[in-house]
Amino acid sequence: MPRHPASHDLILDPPMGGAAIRMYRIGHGDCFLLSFLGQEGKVFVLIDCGYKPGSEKCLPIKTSADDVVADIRRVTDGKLNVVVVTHEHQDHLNGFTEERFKGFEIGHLWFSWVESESDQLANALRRRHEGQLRGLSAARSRLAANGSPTAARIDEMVALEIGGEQEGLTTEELCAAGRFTNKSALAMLRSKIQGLPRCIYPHQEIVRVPGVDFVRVFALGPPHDENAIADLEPRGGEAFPRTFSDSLPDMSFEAALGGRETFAPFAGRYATRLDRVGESEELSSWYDRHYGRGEESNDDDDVVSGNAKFRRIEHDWLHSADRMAMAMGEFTNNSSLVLAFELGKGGKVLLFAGDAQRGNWASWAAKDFPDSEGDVNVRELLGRTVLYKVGHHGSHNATLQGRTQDDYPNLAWLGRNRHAEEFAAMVPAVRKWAIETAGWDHPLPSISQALKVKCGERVIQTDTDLAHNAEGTHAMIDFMSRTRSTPLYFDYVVMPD
Amino acid sequence: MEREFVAPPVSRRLQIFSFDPGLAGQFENAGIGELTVNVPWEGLEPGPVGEYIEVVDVDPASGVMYRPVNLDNPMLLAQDGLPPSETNPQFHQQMVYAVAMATIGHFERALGRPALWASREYTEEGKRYESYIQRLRIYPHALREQNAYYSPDKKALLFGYFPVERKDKFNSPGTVVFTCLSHDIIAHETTHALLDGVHPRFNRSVNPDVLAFHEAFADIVALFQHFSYPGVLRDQISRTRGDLVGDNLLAQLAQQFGRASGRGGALRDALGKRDKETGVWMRRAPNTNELDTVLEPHDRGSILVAAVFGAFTKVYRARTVDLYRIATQGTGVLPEGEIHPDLAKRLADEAARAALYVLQMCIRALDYCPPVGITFGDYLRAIVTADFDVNPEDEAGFRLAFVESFREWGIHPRAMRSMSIDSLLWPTGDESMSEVGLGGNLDLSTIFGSAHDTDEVAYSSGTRKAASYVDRLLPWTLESDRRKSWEGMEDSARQMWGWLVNGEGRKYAKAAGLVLDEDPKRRTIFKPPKGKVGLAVEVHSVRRAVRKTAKGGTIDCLVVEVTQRRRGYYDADEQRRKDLGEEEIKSGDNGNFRFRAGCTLIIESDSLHLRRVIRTATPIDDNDELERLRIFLTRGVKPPNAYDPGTRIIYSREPFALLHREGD
Repeated sequence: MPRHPASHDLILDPPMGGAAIRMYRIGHGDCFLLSFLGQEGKVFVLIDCGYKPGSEKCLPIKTSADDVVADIRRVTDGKLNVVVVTHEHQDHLNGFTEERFKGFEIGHLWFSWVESESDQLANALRRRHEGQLRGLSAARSRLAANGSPTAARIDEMVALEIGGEQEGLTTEELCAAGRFTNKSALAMLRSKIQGLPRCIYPHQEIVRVPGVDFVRVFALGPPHDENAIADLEPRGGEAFPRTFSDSLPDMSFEAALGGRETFAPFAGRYATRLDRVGESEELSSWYDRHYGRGEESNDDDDVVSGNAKFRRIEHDWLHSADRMAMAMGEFTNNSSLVLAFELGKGGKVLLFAGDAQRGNWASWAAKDFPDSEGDVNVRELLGRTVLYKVGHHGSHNATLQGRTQDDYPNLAWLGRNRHAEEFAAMVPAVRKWAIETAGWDHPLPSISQALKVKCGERVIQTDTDLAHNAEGTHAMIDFMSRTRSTPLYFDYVVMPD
Repeated sequence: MEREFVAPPVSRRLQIFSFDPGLAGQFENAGIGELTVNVPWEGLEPGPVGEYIEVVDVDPASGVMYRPVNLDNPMLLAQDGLPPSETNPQFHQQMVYAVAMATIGHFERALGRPALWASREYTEEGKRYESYIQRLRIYPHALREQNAYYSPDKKALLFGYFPVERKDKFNSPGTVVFTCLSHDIIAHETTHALLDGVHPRFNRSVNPDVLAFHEAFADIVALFQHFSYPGVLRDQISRTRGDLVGDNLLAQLAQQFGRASGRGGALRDALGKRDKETGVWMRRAPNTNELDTVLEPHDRGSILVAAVFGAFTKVYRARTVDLYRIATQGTGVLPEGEIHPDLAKRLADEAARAALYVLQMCIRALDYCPPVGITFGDYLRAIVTADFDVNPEDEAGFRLAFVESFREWGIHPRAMRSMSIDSLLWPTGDESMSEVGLGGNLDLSTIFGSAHDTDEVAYSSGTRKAASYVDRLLPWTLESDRRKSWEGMEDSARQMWGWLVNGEGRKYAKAAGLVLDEDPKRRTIFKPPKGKVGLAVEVHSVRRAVRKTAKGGTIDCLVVEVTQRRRGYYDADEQRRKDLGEEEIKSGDNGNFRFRAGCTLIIESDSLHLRRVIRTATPIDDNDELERLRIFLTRGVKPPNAYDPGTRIIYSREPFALLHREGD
């Protein structure tokens, strides 16, 4: 008995020269099925398939990744011409399981250069990423032993990097060997294609969707540049994630996590190990009065005693791990493959930004795309955008704000002139889950606001049913006529020029 | 027994790095990299642990503690403490102590009272208590991170250290940088703690200026404290003879001080930067529009730093122009070669004197700020009014310089008709009464001497656990015992509360911007506990200030801060329903955020004259202001990263830990 009767009889019906996009309401995560009418029938491109476990329960009507993939199978007949993985995060990948995709035929697999095994920078990034996860795991277990809420924040970030579909796992459980991960999703996809996946570099060439003549694909990111992905501004000497060395500096945070206590920053004669303070009577009495061990003394209710517990700092240094976790998450976001699909030369553009953040955005217009009939300028290309898949669930810095005349790509560059009236945005986010469970501000109210100003009511968000408003402007009526909404997905049709 | 005839020393001399070890290690700085400062004499336990500060050197990441230095050791007393050293942690303990004490000294001088740290606040069985924190704790090696911060929760400064990972002219990879060895970082963090002691509610961001103010103020103090050391400037001025007339040199110097050891803060680019192509250092030109677009606390704070620095350079220039004329026979063109050492000394003296005065003005203004929600414009009014009250004539033109410089940076108070000095002064008691249409004279004689009804139930502010209180507000004596003056603050607050809510003061409430009676359309305003009528009023602190005037007299003032609280909800409709009573406010419902309003009263205790009334922008019943706060909190606060809400910094127990990381 199908749970969503309405959602099981609709097919994707792209118009000639246009596109049909199905945005799955998979939860807090991305899953988009694009369909074009090619020379020999419909061609399907699947971009990502993942969700944050638990977020699907916060939708108006609960869905599941099983329902989503079953629908993809029905609509495509189990044949996907291209599968695109934007970046290696749980909420873009964990839907790709062996079981769900059994029997699927996949023509081509597109990754960003970050997945390339022959790219030196990519290999170095991977090594560093593993090191960071190890460090985080060590910091997290110490914080958890102290009952710190930071531990749970780190768990949620580590879950993004490692993957899987179980809710509420701790970092230790996530790191345990043999669990299903982002890596196994990628391996499953690789096993389904002939040959190697295509690892795309931005600005190098105009990519074609096999079987469709009129669609050209422009890869705008991720930049092949460590600093741009890390989004490092020139801020003093602070360079986190750190430079490529396999050995950790002795006095670093990570070295301490590894338990290398012997590397105190001063000569041994000045230092006394904290577990041996008791050996000197003088020191021990000073320590008990001014810092304290165990219980505090309390002789005067009105005065905080010198050895009050709340003033001790055993675990404060571990909170650096929190920042490390955030930096790692943002780094992976910034490694997103960003694709602009152009419907016919000079035609409308669909922009899929993955989870690109500022460093990635800022590099989009670094170069023109070479083309025999005149190079394609990115600013001009983005001006033709009519559909924008909002980056990173509408988070901070994943949709840059700015003005048309600014020299960096931003929201004002998108959907200009005659395309402004049609410009629409898709926000793959479940706000209730993000705020209440993860503590993440997705989508950021100021970005929601900016999108609303830019698109009017033409914003489609995973957790929000479309209000069918028969009245309204011509543009709005046109938008509604091209949109369908079910509990499992939204369909959106883009007509050719 | 000759000891009895020897007076105790006035000060203790201690050596410090004058910038940080990085700058001290550069050849060109030979001779000025180190400095000996005088800090007020006090007997010290090992640590050092004194009256105000306790340095506790545990390093949990390394699993060790470093032995506390004993500065009362005769060997150390005889040689101005330990010599500057990066590799001896005991020197680190000495340096944080010395710089923090110097900063405290500036505060005490400017505010005219002993410095107190913010109280420890806690709740037990629904009742709010406060307890006394005698000493600010300093952990010189608490973190392995390029960060240093004041923890309002622990009342402690935590300094980090980190290995250098890049290789350039100034850095060798693998060496360790200690944030606790940077003069400006220590002064900056100590200032956060001192400011928190005066204004605990300034940690809560209710408009774009509040956190920016905290950062900027800490940088201003660090900067001008640095300038006030004799010697540091002289050397620099004499060796850089080039652009002495202009103001480039001082700004550039100021910035170098701040840049040292990497944590820039608001100062990083506050005053100027090097042109990427030409390599020439350019002063940042005033821009009246920046304030409208810059919201990030450090960047915004840098505007305030630049404005204050601009005022300083205006005064400095005016006061040195005669020296240039004398030195150049009126041509204004200096001859080739080194400048005369006497001229260098005089210029440095003028700069140091102006710096000290600006520093005092900036600190003194703290008593003239509204109790919550400070804006840069309020701060300008505070600076001008506080200075006016001690020095009505302003012969050197400091006030005018401040007003002009702030105007050039686009800083002006909300809803001001004019930027003239007299219109910037906060209103006096009489003016505030006539503004709200209250006639007659305010009789303050009832404040002192008689007991006021301090209804124990309705008084909802935090209290001491001990039950004995002084039952009347007493005229003041200069109380140097800090614990007693802390207790006195609470006793006075109770009496002031009784006078304001149950006594004569009630008539005056409206002029002070307070709302005492319930309003059926604004039910979200906090009420006193247990069914008492009226609205809750909290008297936060009654501080005393004794100030020297320019004429040599003293003014003895009470600074009283009064606030009211209201529940705010992110959902405007929920707000409306709860305000109108359509939806019940259940017990324990404290809203999504807190809206506060109130006033600071400055009362001259000798003459019983209400000298100044400093109200927040609106009273607590103003719905527009509440709406503005809601919009600010939901949209205007910039998040630190792609995951955290911007409000995390606001509600964090460690706002400065997050803020300083973000600013790096």
